[in-house]
Amino acid sequence: MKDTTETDRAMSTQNDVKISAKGVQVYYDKNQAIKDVDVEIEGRTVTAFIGPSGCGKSTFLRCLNRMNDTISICRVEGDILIDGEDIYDPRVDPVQLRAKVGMVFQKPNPFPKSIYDNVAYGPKIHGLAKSKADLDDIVEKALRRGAIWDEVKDRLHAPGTGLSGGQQQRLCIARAVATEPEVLLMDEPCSALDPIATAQVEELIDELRSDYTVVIVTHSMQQAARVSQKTAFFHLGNLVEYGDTDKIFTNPEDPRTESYISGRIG
Amino acid sequence: MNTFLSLPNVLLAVIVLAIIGFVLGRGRARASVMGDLPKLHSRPIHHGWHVVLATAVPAILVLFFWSFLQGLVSNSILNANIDPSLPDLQIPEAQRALLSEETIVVREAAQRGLFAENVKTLAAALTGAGPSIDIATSDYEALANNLRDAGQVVSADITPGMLDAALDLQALQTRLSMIGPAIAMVLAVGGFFWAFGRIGAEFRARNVVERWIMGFLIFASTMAILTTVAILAAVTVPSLTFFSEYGFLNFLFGFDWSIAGDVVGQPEGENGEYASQLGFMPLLWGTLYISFVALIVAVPLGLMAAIYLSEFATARFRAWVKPALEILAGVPTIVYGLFALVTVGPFLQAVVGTTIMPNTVSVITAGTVMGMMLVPFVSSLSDDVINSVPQAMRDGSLGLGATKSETVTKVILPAALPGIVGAIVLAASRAIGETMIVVLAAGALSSVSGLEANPFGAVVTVTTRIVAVLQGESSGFDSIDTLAVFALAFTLFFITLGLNLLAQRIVAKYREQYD
Repeated sequence: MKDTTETDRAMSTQNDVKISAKGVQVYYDKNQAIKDVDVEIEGRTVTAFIGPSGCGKSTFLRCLNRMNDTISICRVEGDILIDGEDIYDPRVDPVQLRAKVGMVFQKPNPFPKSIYDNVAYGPKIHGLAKSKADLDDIVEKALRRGAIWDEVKDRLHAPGTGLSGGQQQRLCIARAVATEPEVLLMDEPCSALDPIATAQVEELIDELRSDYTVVIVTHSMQQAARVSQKTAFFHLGNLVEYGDTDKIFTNPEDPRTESYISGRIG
Repeated sequence: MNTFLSLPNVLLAVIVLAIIGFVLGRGRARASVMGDLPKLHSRPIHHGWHVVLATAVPAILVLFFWSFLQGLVSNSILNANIDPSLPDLQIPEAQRALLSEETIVVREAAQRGLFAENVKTLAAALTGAGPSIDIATSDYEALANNLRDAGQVVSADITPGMLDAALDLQALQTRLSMIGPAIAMVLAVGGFFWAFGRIGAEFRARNVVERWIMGFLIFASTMAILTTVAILAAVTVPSLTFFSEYGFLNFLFGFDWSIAGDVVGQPEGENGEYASQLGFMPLLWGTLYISFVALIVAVPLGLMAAIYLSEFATARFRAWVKPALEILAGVPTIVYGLFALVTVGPFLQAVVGTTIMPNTVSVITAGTVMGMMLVPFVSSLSDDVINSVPQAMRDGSLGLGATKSETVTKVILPAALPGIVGAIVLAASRAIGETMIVVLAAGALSSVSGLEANPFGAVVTVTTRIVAVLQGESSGFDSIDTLAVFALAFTLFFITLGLNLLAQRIVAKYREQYD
C-alpha cells in the first residue's frame, strides 16, 4: 500500500498529463498525414517523437501549437487538450495558444535583429515587461536559460544572424523561453548542428525539463535515448508505440518499432 | 558577278554554305572513324557546328563591319578628291575683301563641307533613281527635276563640278560595296575548307565550339554596357562644349530658363550675355517636385498592395490581381499622359477651383498620374523582396505567438526594408526620367524663372525641355540651346545613374543577409 501512495504522489507532482490527444487525423488536401493518433504527454518530461522521414511526426508536433493553421490546405480533426482545454475549440485564439506553447525549429531562424531584440521580441509583443529594466531582466534570464548568456552578454546588440549555428539555435531556444511558455516544441532542433553544438543543445534540453514540458522530434535514435523519458514511434502516419524511452529501446512491443530501432526499416 | 556580290546575296550564300557545312561536317566526322563513334573525341554534331562557325562567323563579321567602314572610306576619298579650284568653292572677291583672314579660312572650310554634303546627296539621288536618268546633259535644272520626279531629294542647284564629283563618288561606292562581300565570300569558303580539313578523331571540336559559345555570351553580356558607354560619350562631348561656352556653374545654379530663339551665328547677345537663359535649377525643381508627388502616391499604395498580395491574399485573389497589376505596368506612358491631360487635370481643376489652379496641367496632375503608373512597379518589386524573406522568419514569429500583422510589421518589413528602399529608389529614378506624362500634363512653359511652389501650378521638367528644344525650330546642332539639351541629358543621366547605383548597393547589402 505504501508503494502505491508514493507512486501516486510522484504521478501527481511530476507526471500529470499535460497534453492529451484523441483520434487526431490530419489531412493535406486529400492525403491523410496522421491517422487516428491518441497520445498523452506528461508534464515536465521530455517526450521524443521518432520515426522515418514522412511518418508524420513533425506534422503532429505542429498540431500541438496549431502551426498547421498557417498552411491553408492542412485540415486537423480530433481533439487535442492542453491542461484539459481543447485547443481547437473555436474560442481559443491560436495566437494566445502559441504564446503558451513555444516552438523551436529545425533550422535556427533568428530574426535579422540584434541578439537582445530577438529575445525581447516575444515579451514585447505579449506585454510581459513593465519597464526597460524589467525587459533587460527577462532577456538576461532567458539567455541564461538558453545557456548562451556567457557567450553573448558582451555583444547583446550585435546581430543574431552573426552567431554560429549552435549559438543561433540556443538563441532561438532562449527566444522561445522568454515568452514564458509551458510547453516547448522542438522540431529536429539539432539536425543543422555539428556534434559539439548538438551536445550543448541536448544538455540544455535536459535542464529545461525541470520547468517545461518538452516535445522533441528527432531523426536520431541516440538523441531520443539520451534526452527523453518518453518516446513515441510514428510510422506511415500511425502512432505505432508509445511508452518509456528505456522500454521502447530495449524491449519494444511492436515488431515495426523493433525493426526501426534495429535499423531494418526507415 | 557584279550583281552577285551584293550584301544580301553574299549573306544568303554564307548561310547556305554554313548549313551544307554542318551536314557534311557531321557526316565526315562519322565517316572518319567508320561509324565507331566512341573513337571520336567530340561528337559529330560538334564537328558540324565547328564547320558552321568557321564558315559563317568571320564572313558575317566582315559584312557587318564593312557596311560601316564603307561609308567612312568613301567619305574620306571624296574629301581628298575635291578640287580646290572648283568654282563652287570660291568666295567672291567682293566679299573676300571685307573679311579677315581667319573668317576666310572658316568660310572656305564650311563651303567645302557643304559641297561634300551636296555631292553625297546627289550621288544618293542618282543611285536611287537608277540608270533611267539621262546624266549626259548640260541642262542641270531638267536633271534636278527628273530626279525629283523619280522621288529623290535634290537640295542644292546642280553644277558641273558637283555632277562630276557625284558620278565619281557613285562609281567609287559601287566598287567599295563589292569589296566587303568579296572578302566575306573568300573567308567563308576558306573557313569552310579549313574546318572541314581538321575533322578527325583527335580534333577537339567540342572545346572549340564551347569557346565560341562563351565568346558569344560574353559579347551579349557586354553589349548593353558598351552601348551605355557610347551614349555617355555621345552626350558628354556636346555637354562639355556647352559647359565651356555657357559656364558650368551658370548652368547648374541658374534660376531662369528661357530660350531666346535662333541664336545661330550670334553666340552673344547685345549686352555681351547669352540671349538664352539656360539655368538648370527650375527644371531640376520641376522634375523633383513631380517625382516627389509621384512617390507620395506610389510608395504607400504599392507597398500596401505588395504586403496584402504576399502575406494576406488568398491564392485565388492573388492569381487575379497580380497579373492585372503587372499589365498596368505595360500601359504605354503616353496613355497615362492622355489620361492626366483629359481626365485628371480637369477633374482637379473642378475640385480646387481656377484661382488656385489656373491650368489643368500642374505638378499634382502629372505627379498623381505618374504615381499611378509607378504603383505596379513598386508593388511588383516589393512583392518579390517580401517573398524572398525566408518562411522560417514567419514561422519563428508566429511560433512565438505573434499575430500575422505583428509578424509583418516587426519581422518581415524590417527584414525586407533594404530591398524595399531599393525598389523605391528605382521607382524614383524612373519618375525622374519619365517623359510622356510630364510633356502632356506638367505644363509647357517656354520660360520659367525661379521655383514654383504651388503644387497646382505648372512647372517645367528636364525631359519636357529636351523634347521642346529638339522639336522646336531646329537651329542646328551647334546652337547654344541644342547644346544645352545635351547638358540636360548629361545631368539627367548622372542623376538617374547615381540613383540606380544607390539602389543596387542597398539591394546588394540586403542580399548578404540570407545567402
